[in-house]
Amino acid sequence: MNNGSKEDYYRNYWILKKLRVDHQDKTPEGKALALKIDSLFDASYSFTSNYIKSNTNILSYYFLLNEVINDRKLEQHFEDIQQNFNLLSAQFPDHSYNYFIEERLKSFKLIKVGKEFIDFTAPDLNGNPVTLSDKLEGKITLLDLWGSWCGGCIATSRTVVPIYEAYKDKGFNVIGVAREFKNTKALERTLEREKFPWLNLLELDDKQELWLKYGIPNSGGMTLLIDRDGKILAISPQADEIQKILEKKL
Amino acid sequence: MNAQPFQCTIKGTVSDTSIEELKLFKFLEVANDSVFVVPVKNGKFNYTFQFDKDEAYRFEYFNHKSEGWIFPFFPIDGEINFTLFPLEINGSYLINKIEGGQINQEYMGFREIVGTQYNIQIDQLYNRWDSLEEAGIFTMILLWY
Repeated sequence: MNNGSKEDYYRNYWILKKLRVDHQDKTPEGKALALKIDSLFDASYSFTSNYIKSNTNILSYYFLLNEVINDRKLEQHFEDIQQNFNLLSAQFPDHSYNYFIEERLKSFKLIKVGKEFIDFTAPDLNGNPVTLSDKLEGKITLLDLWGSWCGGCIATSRTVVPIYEAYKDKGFNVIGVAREFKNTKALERTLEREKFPWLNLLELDDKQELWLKYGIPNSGGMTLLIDRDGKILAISPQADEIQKILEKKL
Repeated sequence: MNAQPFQCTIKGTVSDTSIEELKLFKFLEVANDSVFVVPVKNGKFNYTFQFDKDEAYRFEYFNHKSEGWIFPFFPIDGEINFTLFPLEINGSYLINKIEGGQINQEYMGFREIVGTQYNIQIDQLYNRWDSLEEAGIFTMILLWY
């Protein structure tokens, strides 16, 4: 895949990411090697999980925290991780890891296609509180979680601009939320440059833990396409996927 | 362990003399949150900080090539000694040493088992992965801009 532009790179990145899940992108030799690595990671996971079950100490809780941070392990071992969490949160009822892990496990179950979006209130750039559900207004809405420091997010947002312009009067909307740290100077500069034509809200210093609630505490961002009834239609769809869905639904 | 602050002194050596500081975080905090900056002089550091509960902390350190590493540990009310090896050494995470505190000892023991049983093999397979990529026979799809 070589299409020259950064936007094309990020679009193709998502296609490649899907192929990588089952190593469909690899040569037979590459696939055999990747499967060996997978099996070693699985064995390492089992060893750690058994350690956790036999040792309900703070070291085990640290290991569990690491498992929860890793999306791939969550996908593969969710039930086991949940079981270990029940064990350790009972052992450490007041520990600060409890909230993080509980929210991460919750978001892992909730942020799925067909489930309802998670509502929140965040300030706009003038400090006025805005509740997401109030702004959906019966439109299909792309929630764009991004940040001025996330190059990939900005490239993705750029690919949405032409779709927004084409469908904004037909029942499509975009709402951005920028995850910023310390202040909004970089965000203001980025918006001045990019001129994204939709409403942008602010998540400053993770005050509302939106990235954790949406299951991406360690990522720059993601997008969610939300249907008129509040159900998630697609997670991080590419621009052409959004267009196909809008063509079908609007 | 909670409420009352405890004092942990971390001492040690960093073999990579291009490292001038260690950044010290609670493991769950992101880089933009509060951070202790531990100065390293002539490869040595000695720093005391307060903590109030049992939880993992992490060092982050970078060499002159901006190559970085994260190293976790568990503070104790007392002294911990570290020996941190150059980042370029393959598997340096296995030979870095911590002395002080039962949980840190437990962590070292666990890390050695997992390292020798799994991580060394995984590293070797990733080296093979790199070789296949260099030879252009790892993936059928190339992506660049």
